[in-house]
Amino acid sequence: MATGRDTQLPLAAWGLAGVPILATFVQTTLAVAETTLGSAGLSGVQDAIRSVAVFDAAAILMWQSPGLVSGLFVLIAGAWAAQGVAQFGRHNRDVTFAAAGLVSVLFFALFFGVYFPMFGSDVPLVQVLGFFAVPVVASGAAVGSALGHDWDEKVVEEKSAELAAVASDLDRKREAFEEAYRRRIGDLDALADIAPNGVERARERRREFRERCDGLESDVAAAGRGSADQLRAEASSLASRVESLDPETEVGRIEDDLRERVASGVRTTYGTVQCWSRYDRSYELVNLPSRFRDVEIQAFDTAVHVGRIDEAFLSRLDEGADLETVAQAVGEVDDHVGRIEAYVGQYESSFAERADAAGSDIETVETKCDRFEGRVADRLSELVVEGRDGDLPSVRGVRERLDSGRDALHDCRFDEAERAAEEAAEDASEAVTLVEFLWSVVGTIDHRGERVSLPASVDPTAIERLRPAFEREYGVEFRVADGALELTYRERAGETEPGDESEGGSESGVGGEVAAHERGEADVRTESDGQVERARPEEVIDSVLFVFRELKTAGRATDGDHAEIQTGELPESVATPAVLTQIRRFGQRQTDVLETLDVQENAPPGFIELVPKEGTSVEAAADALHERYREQYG
Amino acid sequence: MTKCRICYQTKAEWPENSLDDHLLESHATDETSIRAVYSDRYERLFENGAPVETDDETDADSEAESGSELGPLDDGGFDSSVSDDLLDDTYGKKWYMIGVGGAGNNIMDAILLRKSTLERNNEDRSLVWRGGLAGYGMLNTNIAELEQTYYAQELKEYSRNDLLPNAIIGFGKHDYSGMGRRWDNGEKVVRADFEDGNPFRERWDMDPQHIRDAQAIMFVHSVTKGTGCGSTPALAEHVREEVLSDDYVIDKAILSSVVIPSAEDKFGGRARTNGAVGLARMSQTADAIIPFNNERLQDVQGDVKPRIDGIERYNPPQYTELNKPLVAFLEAFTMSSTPQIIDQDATMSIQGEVFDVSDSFRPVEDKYPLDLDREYTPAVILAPVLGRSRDASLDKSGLEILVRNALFHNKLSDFDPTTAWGGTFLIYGPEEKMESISPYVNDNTLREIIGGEEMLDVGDVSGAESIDIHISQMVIPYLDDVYLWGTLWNPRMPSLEAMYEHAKKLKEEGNSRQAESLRDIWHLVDPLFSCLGRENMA
Ligand SMILES: Nc1nc2c(ncn2[C@@H]2O[C@H](COP(=O)(O)OP(=O)(O)OP(=O)(O)O)[C@@H](O)[C@H]2O)c(=O)[nH]1
Ligand SMILES: [Mg+2]
Repeated sequence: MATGRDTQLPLAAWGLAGVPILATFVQTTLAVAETTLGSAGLSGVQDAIRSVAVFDAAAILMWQSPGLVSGLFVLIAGAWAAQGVAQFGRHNRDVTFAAAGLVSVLFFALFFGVYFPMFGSDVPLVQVLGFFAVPVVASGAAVGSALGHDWDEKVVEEKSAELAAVASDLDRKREAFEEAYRRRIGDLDALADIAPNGVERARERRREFRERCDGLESDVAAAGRGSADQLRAEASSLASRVESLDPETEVGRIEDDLRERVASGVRTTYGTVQCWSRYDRSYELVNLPSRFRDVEIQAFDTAVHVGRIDEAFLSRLDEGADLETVAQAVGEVDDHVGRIEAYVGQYESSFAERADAAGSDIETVETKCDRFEGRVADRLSELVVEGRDGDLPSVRGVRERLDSGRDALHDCRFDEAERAAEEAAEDASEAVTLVEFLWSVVGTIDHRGERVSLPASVDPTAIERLRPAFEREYGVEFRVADGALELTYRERAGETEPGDESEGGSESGVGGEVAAHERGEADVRTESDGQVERARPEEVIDSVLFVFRELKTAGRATDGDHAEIQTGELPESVATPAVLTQIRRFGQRQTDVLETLDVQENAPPGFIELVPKEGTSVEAAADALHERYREQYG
Repeated sequence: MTKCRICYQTKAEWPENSLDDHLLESHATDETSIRAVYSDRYERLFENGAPVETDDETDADSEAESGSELGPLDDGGFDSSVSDDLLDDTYGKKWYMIGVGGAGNNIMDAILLRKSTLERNNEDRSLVWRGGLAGYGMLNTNIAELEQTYYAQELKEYSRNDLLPNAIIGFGKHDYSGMGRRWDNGEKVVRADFEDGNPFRERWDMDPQHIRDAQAIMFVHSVTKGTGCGSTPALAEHVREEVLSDDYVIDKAILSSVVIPSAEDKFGGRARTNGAVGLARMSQTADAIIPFNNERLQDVQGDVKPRIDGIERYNPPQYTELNKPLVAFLEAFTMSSTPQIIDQDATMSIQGEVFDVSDSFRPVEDKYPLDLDREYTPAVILAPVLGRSRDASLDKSGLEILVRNALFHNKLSDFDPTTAWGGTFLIYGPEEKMESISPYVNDNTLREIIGGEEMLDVGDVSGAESIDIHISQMVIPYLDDVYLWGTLWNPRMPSLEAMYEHAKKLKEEGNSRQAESLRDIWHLVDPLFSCLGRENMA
């Protein structure tokens, strides 16, 4: 029992409360026992007491109900004694307060129940008030003593011990959890690929459990630092919260959940172990050499065929294999798949490198083929793009080869794939050379060159196949000699006739003949198609302007109301259909100065007639046309 | 080894550490694939269709992007030799480029867009322009055209009010709506600008010091309408006399890239006369003129069309495809003297020699016949070609194909190679291909091919001068294919001749005011056209 300075004051207060209580108690007891002070030889004292009016009145009142008064005094004294015991003996705060409270209540009950009439008597008021101060002081002292008592020390002591127990309980549970988690679940990294959600969930639940523990721990710590009141309030709730932690069950739940997800992960991931290529296709792993086909799973102490890995896993999971082992097995399988991937990846990237080169080459070929013209373009697209001649490298041939190479690659027939890619790349590059070469031939023909050296990789048969088309398109004959292509030009009839507008017809008309000509090559007569120079726009423009000037002159001859000229009066190079069409079209838009500008149908030959708008002279209209046309096109 | 079933790359090939990270980093935008292929992971990695934030925020991609403008420079050995100072200093860079008039503005825009395309994609080739362009400017008489440029809208964010002082020719002298077909007006407004001072120094958004620092000034313009035709020659004169002279710089090269319209462009009489005048006037001040024929540009194959992001937005639709090969040609020209771009590690025999701008025309100057009557020695005409070979292994006949295709098909203007006075060529490509080509360059095989009868026909000379062919070779590490770039000197060019003939006829027969003014300057027109073709060589 700690009796420090802190207890002295409450003890004194309690003692103080005891003075009137004991005094009255003794006095009452004696009175009841009919023993007066007098008979006890103390009549002097009694007289002295009774000489004080208030005491006299009190005695009188007491005698009106001696049983009640004495009973109350006994109770008060008992309560007071009990307080003393509880407060200083047992340190029981609740009992102490209850006793002190009882002392006060009883005291007041006694004074107000029994002695109240004193207020009406002729006892001096001062004395009455003094008398009534007794219970006030006594109960005040009793309660004050209880209040002033340092209860906390004890409470803290007690509850601290309780909290320490809670904390160690918590530690135990935490350890139990970690241990169970380690034992039953283990390191999850290996499982992360197979059941990412399950792993995440397991980790999260572990985190949650730890957080709960941490939360409790910090609550316990906070409670320990708090006041006695808080301690009292929280100790038991903390204890029950810790009590409710159930590490084993929690780990069990986590494990069950994870196991389920791993099983489903195994079903989806290993249902078929697959390696995917950059072509978005999976490899036929069963065709791999046996060292890749069979997976050694040491964790399960067995070797499993790549096609049956899921079965192995599911049966182990069913049998309740621990997750640690499963994870190990997953790791092993992943390693194995990694080895497979590295193995096939090697072939894949060398295949892809060649295939990409071939792919970009054939794209080049296609765009380059587009720039040729006429029959050469058609023939070229038949041969080099569509691959109608199986022997020559072609875009289609390269594509097919690449496709079959890709099939072979995914079938794990790597040598075959590689060969196909190589051939495709070679063909594609040959096709590029061929097309570039032919394009340079076209340029050479434009420049009337006579010899183009033939690249080694260009197959003379390709030239042979294209020869008829070149002959017909350009009127040029080929001869392969000395590693070069020699060109000889045929004099062609219509070639030197500019202004011939027969261009349009030839394009569509002759298409069908090509094939026939190719077979019967011998003597091909070419028309003047494709070579005609179109009238250059600026010539047309100048001619139109000329016509407008002529119209103006003509207007003067006809008194200014209209102007007319015959195409025959114009220079031949001016009166062309192109010029007349331009005049007709342009005239239609100038309605502000013109009534009409007629060009006779099917002219030349024919007339051109200008009728100006009312109020406008022929001269002015013709000038306007001239000016506007020049502004717009000149 | 884990392999991603979306991109089929193995773990070793991803930059990320785990499949989850890989999916989030590399395929986050492809949420549907992840859901389809990795449904189990999907739930975890995505929330409402958006990737759940992961705690490690090491976003490698964004880091690379926000890093230096020249990300890839940091790796790879040879790049380390390129110092940023060298690249950012204007001194010694090849060009100061000035786009004049509608065509000039469009093409300058295309070049700037090309530059930013390369930079944005972190392509090492952005070095070409970064190291080759000392500066650039835009000039026009038409404010509306200026306003529509990438230069004004994105690069400089110039409003109309900014453009007026910074890029207008003839500030305060006209209504800023172009010169029409009046080259004389185009010239007048330039003169007016210089009467008031020197707009290069005072007004235009161009730093005269940068102009002086460059190896050469290149004007880009057309010659068939007022501004390109009339203003550019006058501008060139003022640059020569008032910008370059300040520094006692003698003989700084001035070049001009000229676009000649195609016949489809309603290439009428006036335009043809303008063309003859514009070219001739330009040839007085410029050292060399590169004519580009729109018709030929149109025919050029996709092969030599570089990627230029955003060109559709800024160039008028009819010119986007024409300007691509033109830009490619100028890019190669620029590359030819940008040492930074060359692979320094390549074997010495093919590493290549850069050449100065003046190397492309100085050798020609000696070949002009002495003619005391001639008013001036006209600029050298450099006829452009640019070819590309996709052939995997180039042997002799492969080279011949490349030359034929470049000279016959990929002429960027119309000319007859057999009439040229010679030419400058550059063959370049990746190291592995250049290795097989280099021997043919070193033993003169390539020169023989180019000099062959159908091409430059070096045997066909009558005078004292020979037909010279200069060939350089370079290893440019970032290319896949081999390219042949070339300029042929003073060949006969039908389109130029047509313009000349037209103007001549007008001069002789016309009685209009136009014919009148043409007669006044005829002595300046004639010299240029009397020098084209081999028969006019000394
Ligand atoms: N290749 C190419 N040619 C162009 C382009 N823009 C215009 N041209 C050509 O240039 C000619 C017109 O010249 P512009 O440069 O537009 O005229 P300008 O110099 O601005 O003169 P004005 O407009 O009269 O002041 C047209 O006939 C086109 O052939 C372009 O972006 N690319
Ligand atoms: Mg304009």
